Amino acid sequence: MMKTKMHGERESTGNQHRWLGGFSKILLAIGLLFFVLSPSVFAADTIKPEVTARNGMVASAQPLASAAGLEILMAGGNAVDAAVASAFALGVVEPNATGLGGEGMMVIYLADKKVTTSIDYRSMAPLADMSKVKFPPDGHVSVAVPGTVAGLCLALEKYGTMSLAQVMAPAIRYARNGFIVSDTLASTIKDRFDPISKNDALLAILAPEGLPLEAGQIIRNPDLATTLEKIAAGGPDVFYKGEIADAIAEDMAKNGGYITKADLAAYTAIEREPVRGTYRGYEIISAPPPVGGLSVIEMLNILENFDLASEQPLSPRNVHLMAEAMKRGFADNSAFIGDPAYTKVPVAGLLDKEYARQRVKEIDPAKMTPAVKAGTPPEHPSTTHLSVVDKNGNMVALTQTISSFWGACVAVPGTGIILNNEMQNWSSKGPNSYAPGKRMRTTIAPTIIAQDGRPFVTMGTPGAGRIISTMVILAVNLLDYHMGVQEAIESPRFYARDTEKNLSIEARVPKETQDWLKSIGYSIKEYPDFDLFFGGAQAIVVDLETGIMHGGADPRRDGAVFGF
Amino acid sequence: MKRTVYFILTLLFVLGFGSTSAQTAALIPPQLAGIFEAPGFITSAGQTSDAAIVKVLVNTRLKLNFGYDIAAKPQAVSGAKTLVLVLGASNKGLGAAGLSIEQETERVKAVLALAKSEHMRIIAMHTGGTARRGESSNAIIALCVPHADVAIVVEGGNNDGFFTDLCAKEKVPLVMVPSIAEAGNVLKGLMAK
Repeated sequence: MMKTKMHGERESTGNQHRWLGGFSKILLAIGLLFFVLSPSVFAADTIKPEVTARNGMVASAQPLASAAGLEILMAGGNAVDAAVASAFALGVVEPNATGLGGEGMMVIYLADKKVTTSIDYRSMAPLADMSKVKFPPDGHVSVAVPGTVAGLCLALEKYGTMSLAQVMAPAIRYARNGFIVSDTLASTIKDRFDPISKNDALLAILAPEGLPLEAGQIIRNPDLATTLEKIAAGGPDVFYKGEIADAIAEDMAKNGGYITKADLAAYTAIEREPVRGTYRGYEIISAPPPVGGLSVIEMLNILENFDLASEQPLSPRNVHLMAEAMKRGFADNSAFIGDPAYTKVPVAGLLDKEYARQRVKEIDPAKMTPAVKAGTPPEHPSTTHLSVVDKNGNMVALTQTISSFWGACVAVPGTGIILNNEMQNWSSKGPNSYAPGKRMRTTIAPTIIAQDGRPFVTMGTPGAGRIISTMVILAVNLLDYHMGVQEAIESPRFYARDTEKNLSIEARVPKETQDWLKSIGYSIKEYPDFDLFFGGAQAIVVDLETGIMHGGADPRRDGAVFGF
Repeated sequence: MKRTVYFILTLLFVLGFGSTSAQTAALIPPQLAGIFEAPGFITSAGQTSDAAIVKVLVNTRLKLNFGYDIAAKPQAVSGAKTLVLVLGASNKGLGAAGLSIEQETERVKAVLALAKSEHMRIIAMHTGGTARRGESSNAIIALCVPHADVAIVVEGGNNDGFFTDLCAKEKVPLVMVPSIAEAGNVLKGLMAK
């Protein structure tokens, strides 16, 4: 093993000699040699312990949401029941990131049928012509038709075993009784307090005494509890066609918003075939367009052409190669991915291994590519996360969002519902340009990984543009470096875009690596050691030999794993 | 017995209420009490979202009815007699306002120049903790504090003594408060009745 690393390093320093000169650069090269040969920087303890269980496990971005899923599993529910329970609960206890006014995508593995499927409950543009509208970052005009209720209800109806009332009970309890505000939640309230303070209904929830709720205080949302009870009793029609639709439409009409009752009534969640690829023999099953799973697989296809495991996870070469793969994946994401009902997405072309090899030829191992253009894939006919595994091997990877934290900063009076600001996510041109009724592109990418047809990983993350890059880092950490799941989640993150020289990194990326990356053209943008900017991943890995589930949750957020 | 309990509870309430007011009064430098006049205007220096919290505190809770614009240009501030500058550089805030830190610094300099030319009194406030105070924040605080008549700082933002040293050097009275709510009480005490 050590011999392999030394060989890799010699090759690398050989390349460096062409462009390095001077004593300081020789010192840098010596530093790099020591770094690559040193024991793994990841062998150290993790901040959070890895959790193990045999009968069921839930990993989500908030302890109470994980507890909700666990409660359902222990009551005999399957992974879909638990995922839906956790998702509704997340909408209450992580209201900055998800909720009834938002949307999402989930990937489901059904062990008895040995099939995977996905449910697209992305939000949708209102049916009115808004082509002349400039979409603001907050307020009623920024809101798209929400999909959460339709998506969760469809999943439960088709693949769950329990009633809506049963799985929604924990969420209703949390909304009515309240829960303690965490540092993370308090910080998100302060960060967007300017737009929050312009909406009386939202201000009443987040600043009931005039000032924003602080960490340690109790937050309650009794109106949301009542709304959830109505949905539990009457099903999704209450939200899309009944009195909640009335409340949303009335608030929109009063405040210049575009969503009408007809828009809500027209919304449906869509069951789609997931996108599939392979990475070093493992099958990667992820969320299809209009979201980001395709780009995760494309980046992994590029990385498959390099022997990453021959060097340390954060060696200069490995970070550079991964950043270059990210740049190409993001360029193609922007150029080709959109709502498949409105644009022809070259799915097979982007997943093509030969296409990835073409992209690899563009990568210079000793030079950063400042601006990457979209490729030409061959023609072929075609912001919170939770993971759940049950005792029968059913799995769910589910990612939901309201776009920005606190979405549009609009709550619907009398309902406790906080609305998304997805309309800001249209592109000015290309496959993600606006059209009435269309679903906008996003980077969410809930993913399941299988070995020899047996799924053993469910993972995902929020994090806006960083979702795709973080998913690639997680896959590489698990599959190339064989890290434990918690270790894989906690390892330092980085992120590179196609259009810029910036490499955003957590400060824990070794200085030797940072120096080398600067020397080949990257502009390093350093973030704190653990930063929410890079998302808050949750994952469960099942040991296929023993059946033991290993869960990890992200310390960058309030993540928690529970199992039994 | 019942009457005694009511009496004790009433006494505790009166003493408690009285002592809170007395505590606030004790925080305010006597020479500054009641000398700041309406109309007032609140803006940020660094686009911190804390400015919105101060706005709610001042206008909703204390009903002082100050003007507010997180990214106010000098002409918006013109005419005020008291300027409240909420200090703190925020990358998110700068991004949302479409400003670089350099552009924001120029805006703040222009607002300070206008305030000086119109003889406004300036209250500098910092309500975020030390963790929300990076290099850019320190630079913008150092720019504003020397122009202020008083600095009100929530204690958590001065754990490293940054404000203590700066205010001592610039001879600006520093009022340290335990909470944002108390910062509001101090601000009210500074205003002319």
